[in-house]
Amino acid sequence: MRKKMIPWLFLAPSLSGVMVFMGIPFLDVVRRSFLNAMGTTFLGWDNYRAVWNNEAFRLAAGNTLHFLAVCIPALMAVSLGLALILSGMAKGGGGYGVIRTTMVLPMAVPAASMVLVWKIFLCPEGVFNQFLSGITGQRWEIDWAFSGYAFPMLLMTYLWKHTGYDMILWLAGLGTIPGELYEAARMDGAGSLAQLRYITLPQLHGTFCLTGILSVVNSFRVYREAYLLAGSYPDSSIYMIPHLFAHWFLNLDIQKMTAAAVMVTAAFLLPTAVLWIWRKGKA
Amino acid sequence: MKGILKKYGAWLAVAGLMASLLGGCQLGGKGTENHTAQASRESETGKEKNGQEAKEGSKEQEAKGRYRETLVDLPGEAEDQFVLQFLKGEGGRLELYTTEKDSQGNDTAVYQYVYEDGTWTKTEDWQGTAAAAEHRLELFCVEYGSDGAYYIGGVDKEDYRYHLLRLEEDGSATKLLEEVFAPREGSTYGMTPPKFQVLDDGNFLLYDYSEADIYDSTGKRLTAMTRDFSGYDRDSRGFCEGGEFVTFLDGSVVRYDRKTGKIMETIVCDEVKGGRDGAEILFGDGEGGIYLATEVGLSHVNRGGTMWEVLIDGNLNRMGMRSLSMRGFLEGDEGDFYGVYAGDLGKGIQICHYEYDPDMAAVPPSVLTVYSLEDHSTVRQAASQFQSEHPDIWVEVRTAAEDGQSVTEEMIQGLNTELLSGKGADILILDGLPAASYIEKGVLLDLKDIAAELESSGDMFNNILEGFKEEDGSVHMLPTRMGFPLILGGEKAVSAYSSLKDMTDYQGEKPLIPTDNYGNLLRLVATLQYKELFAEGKGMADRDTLIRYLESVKTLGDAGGSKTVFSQDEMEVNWVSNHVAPTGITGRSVLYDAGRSDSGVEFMDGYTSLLIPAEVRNRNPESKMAAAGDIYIPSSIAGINRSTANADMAKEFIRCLLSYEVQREELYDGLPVNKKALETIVETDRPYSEGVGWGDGYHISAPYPSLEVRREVAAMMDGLTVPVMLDETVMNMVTEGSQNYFDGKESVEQAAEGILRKLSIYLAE
Amino acid sequence: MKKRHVFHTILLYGACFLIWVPLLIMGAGALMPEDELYWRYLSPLGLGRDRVRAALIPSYPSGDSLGELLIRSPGFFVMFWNACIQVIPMAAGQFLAAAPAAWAFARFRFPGKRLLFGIYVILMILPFQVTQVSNYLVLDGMGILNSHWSLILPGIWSTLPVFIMTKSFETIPDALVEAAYLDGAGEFYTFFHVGLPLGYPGIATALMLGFLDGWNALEQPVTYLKDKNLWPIALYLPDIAKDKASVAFAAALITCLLPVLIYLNCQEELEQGVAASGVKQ
Repeated sequence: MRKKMIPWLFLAPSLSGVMVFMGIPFLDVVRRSFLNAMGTTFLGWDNYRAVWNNEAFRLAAGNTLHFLAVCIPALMAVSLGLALILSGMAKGGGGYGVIRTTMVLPMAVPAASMVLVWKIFLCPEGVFNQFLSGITGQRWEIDWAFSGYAFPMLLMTYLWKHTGYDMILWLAGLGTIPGELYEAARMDGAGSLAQLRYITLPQLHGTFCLTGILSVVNSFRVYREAYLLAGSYPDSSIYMIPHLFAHWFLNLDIQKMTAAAVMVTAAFLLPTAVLWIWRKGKA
Repeated sequence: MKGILKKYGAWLAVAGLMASLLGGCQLGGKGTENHTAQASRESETGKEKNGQEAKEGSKEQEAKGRYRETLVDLPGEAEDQFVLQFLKGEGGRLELYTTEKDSQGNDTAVYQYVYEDGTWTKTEDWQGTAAAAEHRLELFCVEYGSDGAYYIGGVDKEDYRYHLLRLEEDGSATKLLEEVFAPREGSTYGMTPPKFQVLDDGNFLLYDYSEADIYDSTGKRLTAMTRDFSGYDRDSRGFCEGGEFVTFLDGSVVRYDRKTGKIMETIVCDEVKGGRDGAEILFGDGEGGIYLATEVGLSHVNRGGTMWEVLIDGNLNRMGMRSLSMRGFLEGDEGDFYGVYAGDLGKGIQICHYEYDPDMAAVPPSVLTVYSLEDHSTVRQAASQFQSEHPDIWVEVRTAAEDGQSVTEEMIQGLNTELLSGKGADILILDGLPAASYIEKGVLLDLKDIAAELESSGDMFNNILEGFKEEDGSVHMLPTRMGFPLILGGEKAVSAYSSLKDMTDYQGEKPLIPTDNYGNLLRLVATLQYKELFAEGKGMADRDTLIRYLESVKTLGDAGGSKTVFSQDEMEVNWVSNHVAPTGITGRSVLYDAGRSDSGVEFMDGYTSLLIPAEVRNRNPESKMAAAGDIYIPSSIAGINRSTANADMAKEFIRCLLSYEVQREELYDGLPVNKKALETIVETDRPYSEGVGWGDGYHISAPYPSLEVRREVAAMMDGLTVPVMLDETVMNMVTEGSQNYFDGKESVEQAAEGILRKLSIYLAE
Repeated sequence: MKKRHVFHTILLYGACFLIWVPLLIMGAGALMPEDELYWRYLSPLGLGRDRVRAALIPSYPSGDSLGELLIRSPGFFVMFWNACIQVIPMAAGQFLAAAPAAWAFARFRFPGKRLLFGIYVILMILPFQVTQVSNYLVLDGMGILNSHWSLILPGIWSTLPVFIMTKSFETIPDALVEAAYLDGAGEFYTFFHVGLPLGYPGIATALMLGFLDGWNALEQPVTYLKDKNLWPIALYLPDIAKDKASVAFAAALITCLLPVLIYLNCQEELEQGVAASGVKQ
């Protein structure tokens, strides 16, 4: 009997607070999604219908998915690559420690601080344009953050900020792979590429999940940078769900916001649920 | 090894950072403590609001006890005079010195009033009156020396030389320190100190603008002490007590040692200083402590202390009233205080007595909250007025963006959070807020009963009232101030403003609209042609309308050589700046007068805006002055939060905002919407004049417009029916998206495409 | 092999270079006097249009901006301490609440575990605006609005630390835990003496991230804190970027100094976690 209680005892401190500070608000969100803005009238599925048909929502959702689909693989690939290289270098030599420290610094710098620097690069009179003008001989005056290139620019700032951190996570994961496996593989004549494919990647499965989910969480945070760089109504390629939510909120359209939030949550739950059912099926 | 170094290095750096911040604490800590004191005071009153007990503590106020303000009667004639000085004279009695001015604003006579046995009486034939007249002095200052004699100081009206006179018992007046005030070699004018003090050692402290110098009776300068000078009407903040000179330096109170001229102590006072730089009054408490009287209230700091205790809350009485300026503050004999106030233009003296009433609630038991994004003088004035009429109600005015801070979206989101939770202030000032959304969601109370009252009483302009009625007759917000565009130019030019097409078709010797930056031009045209561009049909969302709008602005701009951004040199040549006004209207009638355009638009938001255009019309007899159709721009728009618990009180406050008493005060934030108040303002003559000059020798100097002209412009207000409230989001999109087009880098279609893409997202949301 | 090594080194150092350049620009900007800032960065500061003349080192190093912030702006200093008061207890609380929960998720089986964990993950992803109003109501009901607690308490129960720590605890070899049980250790003992030490890297990471999140949070303070003298340092930056542009860089630098210093200091511990398991190829 006591054994059954033990996990719950461990969970208690967290669960109690989460229920109050996260659970209750979320339930309130669901509640509001069925009401009008000021909470006085019951509207059934009206809000959901309105949001689903809303052009702005479709654009924002599409862009958000687009960003996720591009930036997460890009980030994971780049950080993994760097981690592999770094772990392969002789430990302690070649400034291993310095590199590690450097790479993580961007995480510690708040978005508001970096935006100024990004503007230095991206404004019409900025470094990028000067560089391009120098090379091509033409006059480049694009306001990068506000142009059609806004998406790659945002991707760039996102990568800059998070690559180092993910690299550390990969390194930690790589560190848990027992060296003997590699020894054995080398004895068997496997080259580095084969080692990578059959030992490293599978062993990193856990880290893969961790990094993946963290990247998703962080990609929502990219709104702050996008807002500081490109304003409230940026180029349509980087107009994402948080932008829309902010505007809805400004106009007191909380009924649309909550309905959309529930829909977005469901969208995340869907693949997870599918995976779960699939796994259950396998077992 | 390296690792250890790094580890300790990191801690050292952290320690260093902490140390430097703590170092800053020494100077800033006083500020911190002020924050704490003020914050604890504010949070205390907040708690009291919720009915919880007031905490005990050294700095918190107790539940009971407040300084009660009572108006003291003055002799009738004094009330129309100007304050010169307020001090304690012979035998410690209160004395008030006033001047009378002629229509040019020059002093014609100076009088003394004495407060004895609870009444003020004018001293007949005060010695100073004659002395000032005899020496043709315009007095700056009157003082009572510790030697028992009165001193007066002022400038000779003819040669502008300063004289300091001691009034002798035999009726004569002795000139003192003549050499000090004599012009130096090579200068035409000598020193003209706005204030002086007679020290107990026989020396004189002269306030010479950014310096205060001590001279002995032979005219030798003993010490020089720097102080802040604000340019505010004869800035003379400071006092001498016990070997010290206390004044302001770099925004903080400083104590100087008079012998050495060195600063002995600096006391930060940011929290209690208030916003009106130069209007603060410092005086001593006789025990080394300092009193500071400002619009925040009366604060006190002990000798050696750094924390200011607020004794009298300026929010609750005349100290914080916008329409008044504090001209003197003194401590009485029994721990009470007296304050002297002057109204607009320095006229209209009021003296108030502040007496501690231990039974009065420390903070009024009822609270009415008012929220606004930015500061609105009329709202503050109404708060003061309302409180003086209802002493048991505290009107808490919360401004989201203080002291020049810019308004952020987070602030509005904060308000929205409150509103959606069924809370928020009782009264909302809707400038800058998404009022249309609020109305749509039912956040605001229907004010139609107030509207009906106003309609029947005729107090408010009915044309304005109509503009705020919705289709179903409900009224959810009312403007309390307004302004409108005033067009000045040749007849043909003025009539061209009637439609967008007429403006672009205009052909004249000179451009219709003078040079300006495109940011302004976009807004100007949007305002002037508001009906055509916004109110009808889809407005700007319609591609053709948008293109027509952009092309029109370009045509008008090109004619005058307008640009998106001007360089420093270009600004001087063209008499422009890169600043963008919200309405796009920046006083341009001078350019018309200077012959650079065929017309110019001014923003008529107060009679002080009329001086230049009226003078321009005088100079150009063939010119016309007209309102721009029927549009006007409302401001300080008030509404009541539906979830308020004090609907009746809130409605009272709205009535107060629109009342004659509040509306007739000239607070330089717009024209009144109350008809009677407007009449009063129109009928009042003011000794104003204004002058404008530009680099190449252009100059215009304008007196206050004549009664006839003032009435003419007032009559224009009857025809204004369309309130213009530009959608900032749309205007920003248009301005940003059209930049390349105006710079010639893009076609109008491309620009319109870009703008429409964003606009459609905005409209779809 | 050598060529490969050189190529790798170049890539790594290239990445570092890309990281350092923007940071140096920011640091240099913090040490520039106002004139130089206006000469170099008029456009990015939004004060006009002029060619950007970026620099990694100031031409005329000056402590003006830093001085103005540290010494002459008591407000800045207050905000710094507010941030400390709000974030440090929050991080401590996160540890206390999340560590046991993470241990439970990682090592125990119990009904509804997957579902609960899934809920935790969802709550982690939701952007703040979604629950903003609802959070406000809860906090108001507790009476802690407009106080430091309104930021500390919700922050403690953020589900992100639970997630990270769970993943970290999952990597602990079962053998070690079994060994502890065999030695007669109880659940709590095992948690304290086996789990915590071995899961330390994950815990440190989670707290580090939690600290950073709290330090840089913008939306929560603005919404929940009415009194401006309770505002943390993160709110200083967006404000000044418009008004006092000349201290923008300096403020940016100081705002991130504390988190960076803390990271530098904890790096040792993180590195140990990696070294312990050995990295070979």
